[in-house]
Amino acid sequence: MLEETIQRTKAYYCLECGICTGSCPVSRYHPDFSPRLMVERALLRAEGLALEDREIWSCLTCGTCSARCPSLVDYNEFTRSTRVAARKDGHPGVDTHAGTVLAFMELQTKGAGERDLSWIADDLRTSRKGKVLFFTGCLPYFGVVFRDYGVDAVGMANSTIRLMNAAGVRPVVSPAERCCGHDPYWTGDAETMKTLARRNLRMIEESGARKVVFACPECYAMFKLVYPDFFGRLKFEVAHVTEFLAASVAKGKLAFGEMEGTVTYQDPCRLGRYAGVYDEPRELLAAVPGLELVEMPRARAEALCCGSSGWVSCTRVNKRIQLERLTEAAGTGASTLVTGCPKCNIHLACAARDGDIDDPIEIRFVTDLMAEALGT
Amino acid sequence: MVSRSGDPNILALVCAWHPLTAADNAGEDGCTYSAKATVVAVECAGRVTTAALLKALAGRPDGVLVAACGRGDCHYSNGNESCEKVVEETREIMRVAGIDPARLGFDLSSDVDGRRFASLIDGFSEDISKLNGRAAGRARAVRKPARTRSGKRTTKRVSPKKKVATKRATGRKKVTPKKKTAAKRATGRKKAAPKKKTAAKRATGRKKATPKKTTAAKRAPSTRKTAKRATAKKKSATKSRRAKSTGRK
Ligand code: SF4
Ligand code: SF4
Repeated sequence: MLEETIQRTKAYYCLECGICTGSCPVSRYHPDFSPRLMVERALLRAEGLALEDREIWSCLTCGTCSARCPSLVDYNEFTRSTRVAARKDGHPGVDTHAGTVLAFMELQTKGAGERDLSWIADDLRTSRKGKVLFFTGCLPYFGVVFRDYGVDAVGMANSTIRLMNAAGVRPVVSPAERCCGHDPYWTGDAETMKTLARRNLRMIEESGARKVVFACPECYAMFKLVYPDFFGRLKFEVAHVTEFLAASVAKGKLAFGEMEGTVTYQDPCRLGRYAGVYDEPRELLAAVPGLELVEMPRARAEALCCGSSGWVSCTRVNKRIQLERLTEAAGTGASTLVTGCPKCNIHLACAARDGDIDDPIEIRFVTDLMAEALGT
Repeated sequence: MVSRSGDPNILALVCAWHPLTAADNAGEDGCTYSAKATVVAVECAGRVTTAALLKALAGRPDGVLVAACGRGDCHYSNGNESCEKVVEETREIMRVAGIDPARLGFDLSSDVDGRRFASLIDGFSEDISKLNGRAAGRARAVRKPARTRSGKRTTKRVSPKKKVATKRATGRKKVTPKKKTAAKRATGRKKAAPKKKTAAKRATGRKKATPKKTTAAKRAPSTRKTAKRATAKKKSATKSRRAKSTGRK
């Protein structure tokens, strides 16, 4: 198991330079966390040590280290595949939110029926069959679980549909949709992901869609980067909503009204470092007359992670990373931090409401802001 | 679904204080209720998390029932109320997932009357049967619920929706101890398994902390339980737990 991981991630190229640990946001606040050491331990074939180490669950899989490693070691995959082995070996991570989120993902592999779609606002147009499908992911579920965090996830899904309608598209929203499996996958449960993926692929095929649009970059990255590894080339195109809308703006199908303000943008790990989408969200924000975008010192590939992923391990360390990012965002002078990912929004909003910083910056999901710029 | 043999599979999570006492009393009083209800005691309803309920649902029981102590009576101050919130959140998630929220029952009561407990289970079971009939199309598999926590207490029983419960409560005849056979449920529920009336089984002396009957006896052995489900690992514990009806010390 370990051997295979080493081969697949090319861990054997490790130079022990320590750039990964030096780049890692977790290591900055948590001295016991060292990606370099974990790689070394694997190279020494210390399987027991590698699997029992609770720190393999502390990694955010943010991709910063992999992006900087001079030897191109794929540390994210290293973490993921070590987690698969650790889970099998009886050392799972500690689920956040009392396990609720991972549990409703698992539920979608078995007991769940046809999804309820009554959350779609009455004035929006959707269909059951069509060329473009909007993959809502877990947003309707998050709408229930994170309401108390001041995060309106259902609103994010609605604003996405609203923008698609404005661009002249009436998207398919399917009750047969399932979670994309991102979080089970990254926490070492590839089986659950595969079950979910198969259902999603069948659902998309039955809808007749040629293009699938995602509000959540994690769903997007799964379809774009992971599903093909398991199920071959996708028979449809995929696009993050920011890519889809930026293209609509470029084609003149979508325009925004004036909006005053200065915003800064949080590059989500999955959209940025994983999928390489940096420009479209910025083009989209630039399409709003009067809206100014200021960049944080760490932006694009250097962006700091929102501090949590996969719904495992949320500790003091994660909170500190989030506070660091909120402080950095406020330091730009922007009044709003725009996120390209509903989960970044949830995680940062969670830290903001803890009260550790006074008057935290406002956090908004990109489609919520853009839908507001549509005017009426 | 559930086209199995009649009764739906029910997982009942019962707080170990009042509701479990009611379950004990049901056994002691010789009450009977569906053999397809698996009763699992939890130390406090407050320990039941949304994740636990979702995982139970993923095991595809036909219904899950949570029984907590009545308002103001939680032994740990507010476990029953936090459980109420958890149930509400879980029902909302079920709605999103396309599972009828009525499949999750919740009972808040400090009534330790065994007959009420039995009718709570049967009432919930009846409601679920109706749902199953109605939802013929919507597939809910029949499997038995994951038996998450087995263990602790020997006995237990669960309770589901209140309204039903009350309603049915009245009519049921309590089986008097000894002659349990005769009594067996007036209602025509078909019991799958053989009777095992083994009255003797009893023995486990758990004493109930709560109210009323302190008598050593408690535990009722199951009568009607379905044989097949017996597979549970801890057989004995489970068994008594599932005990169907007629108990009697
Ligand atoms: S950055 Fe790459 S080469 Fe350097 S220690 Fe980390 S894994 Fe090894
Ligand atoms: S993926 Fe991110 S959190 Fe994990 S070790 Fe690399 S830099 Fe640290």
